[in-house]
Amino acid sequence: MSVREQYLSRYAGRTEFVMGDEAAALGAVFSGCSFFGGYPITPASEIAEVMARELPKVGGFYVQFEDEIASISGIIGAAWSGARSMTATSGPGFSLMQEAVGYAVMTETPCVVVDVQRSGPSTGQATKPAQGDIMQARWGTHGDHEIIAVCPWSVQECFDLVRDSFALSEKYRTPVIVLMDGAVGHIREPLTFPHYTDADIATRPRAKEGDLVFGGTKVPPMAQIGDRLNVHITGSTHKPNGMRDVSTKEVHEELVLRLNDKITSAREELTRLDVRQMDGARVAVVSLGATARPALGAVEKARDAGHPAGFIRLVNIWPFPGPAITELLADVDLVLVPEMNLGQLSRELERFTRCPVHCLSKIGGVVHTVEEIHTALMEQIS
Amino acid sequence: MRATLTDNIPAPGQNPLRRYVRPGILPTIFCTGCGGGTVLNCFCKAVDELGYDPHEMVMVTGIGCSSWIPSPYFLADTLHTTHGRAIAFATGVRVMSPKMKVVVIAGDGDISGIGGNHLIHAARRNVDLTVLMVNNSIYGMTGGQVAPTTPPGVRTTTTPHGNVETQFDVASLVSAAGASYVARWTTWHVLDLVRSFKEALEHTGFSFVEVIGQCTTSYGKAVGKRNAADFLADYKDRSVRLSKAKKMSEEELEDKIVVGRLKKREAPEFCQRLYQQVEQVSSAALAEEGK
Amino acid sequence: MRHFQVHVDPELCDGCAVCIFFCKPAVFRLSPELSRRGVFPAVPEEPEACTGCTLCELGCPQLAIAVNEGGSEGGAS
Repeated sequence: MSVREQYLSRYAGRTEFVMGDEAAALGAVFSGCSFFGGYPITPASEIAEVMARELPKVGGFYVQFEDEIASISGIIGAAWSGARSMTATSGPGFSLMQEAVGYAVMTETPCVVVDVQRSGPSTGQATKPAQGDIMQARWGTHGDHEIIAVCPWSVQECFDLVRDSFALSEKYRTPVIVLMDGAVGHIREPLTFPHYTDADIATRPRAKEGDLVFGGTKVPPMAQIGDRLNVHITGSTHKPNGMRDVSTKEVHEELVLRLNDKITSAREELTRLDVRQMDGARVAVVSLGATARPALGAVEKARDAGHPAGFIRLVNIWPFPGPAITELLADVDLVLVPEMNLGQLSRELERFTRCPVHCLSKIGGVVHTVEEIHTALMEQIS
Repeated sequence: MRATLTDNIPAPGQNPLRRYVRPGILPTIFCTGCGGGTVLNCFCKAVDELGYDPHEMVMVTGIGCSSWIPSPYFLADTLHTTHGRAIAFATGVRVMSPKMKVVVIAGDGDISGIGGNHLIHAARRNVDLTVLMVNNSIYGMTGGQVAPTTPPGVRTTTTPHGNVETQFDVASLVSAAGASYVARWTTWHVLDLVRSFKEALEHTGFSFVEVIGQCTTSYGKAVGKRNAADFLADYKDRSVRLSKAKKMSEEELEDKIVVGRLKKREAPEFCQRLYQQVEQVSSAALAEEGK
Repeated sequence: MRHFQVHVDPELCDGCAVCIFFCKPAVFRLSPELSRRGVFPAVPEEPEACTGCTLCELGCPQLAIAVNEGGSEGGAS
């Protein structure tokens, strides 16, 4: 048994009462994470603290960098040396990381970036939750690109989705964003640990001599520094062999289209929706993260009173599960989207449904209540 | 790391160091007389004299002309990163690749301008990296904008009325921050460069070599020097070796370039301490488990 | 007395004249004829004067120069 297997065996089947941030960190430890680049920021600091404490126990490395840019850069470097790597931050730090996220997309570097969203813009309400980074996760970095992002709504999901994110990043050779919000990050709930085995850990396809590391196939095999392949990794437009070529239109087209298609063609597989009470629903409440909790309460309350309300929760937000959403909303008259921002999920949703989308914004760092959503729901229904 | 390289052998009459260069890629795209080419040359020589196997080396670079010195020219694993961040990427590489020699080559704008924060912290940590900063006193690739290393008064494209800032003494900064090997040379000092690169590569810890090198175009036009020879003559003229500089006054050193091995000491290195700690912590965690 | 062969690869030389700057015995001059690269390349005109210091070989930004010991008359190409 490896060091990690030995250490984690004591957790198997156990349930502990932990914070969302802690669950996210433990999810990484349970994913074979071997390198974490950290920088403190509310409300994500606990992730760094738990990683600093736990990673060394399983032979992994925690490095506290001088800023968020160094953190994301360091984890990308580590990934090319074979690490499964992660960093965690909040809005302001996530903003700083955008250039490097684009670099990871362009170089097809697997890594996990946790953004525990807090109220912005700017320093905003540092200690209060929000969902204002949904669009930033999608478009924060420049240029035409796709991204995978997931949104946990419970402590258990913080753990499970981080594990899924590592697997997805390895499978698609892409950075994966875990969009938590400050409420889920700091809530405490039971977390049940699975049995861990090294064999379960997903690893990137590995290149051999003669393989094209940056093309030739939808998800090319990845060379590791030290594989003696003289791999050339660059954020500039490059040919399938990795060598820079910014002069040829077709080279850029081929690369960027493949990078985008790599994700969009997997949209169906990546789509994860938590759908409840949608049978015969005429009004759908669509939400994600912490907001989905009172949203579910509101829908159940409405259904108990006989109203045809349904609940859709986006577990994966990007690539946007458009086709699945369109199908689910086919017979719906109206969509209510409670979100802790001024309309980001709702704006994207509008593209995929003909029925009116009503955004129930709540900013100021307070999560929606069941009452608020239920009242709005009733207003829309009548 | 002694190597017996049997492939990429240059033809007779060709510079034997071409074995370290990606085949079919020369001539370089560097401007005529660019100091960057000389740095590439001397770096290959250092690697050759040390007998390193380039397969056990990884080059990490940033953005700018000097970042092109290893990328795409040097035949080894290459990580060409974002502007200013090479040292941060390299730290991640170094931690996870304990057996590789990790080398950063980039320019003064990249490393000490936008990358300043990463530079001083890596020096502080004394991470085992070899960092060659090619200092041409300008942002060259973008056409000649003022850099933190541009002398006062110089008219660059963004200081058309004259530079009102002072010049960064990067080697001193890095030394003060905690680097355990610091040297400065110019592209005129080709033999010293080879020796210094060898020392830096062999030294365990943050090894920093500042190479003052000519930009005959973007900087050349700002200072009226369009030939490499003009710059080299100037470097030769203004360079003062450390031993002599120590006996000179501040005024006497005003316009001079102090060259030499400025610092070399043995000091605790970051990765070694990290590995040691992880070893201890994981053993203790398992021992506790066994109870 | 040691003899050296001095080679300048005309495919690489861009006529920067760094070798001319470094060379004390003045082995090189710039050719009056344009090379295929479209420059006036350095050519080793006085190879027998070469002392084998290899400053040119090291200083050349294009790695175009090779200095080899040998050849009794000190040939060049």
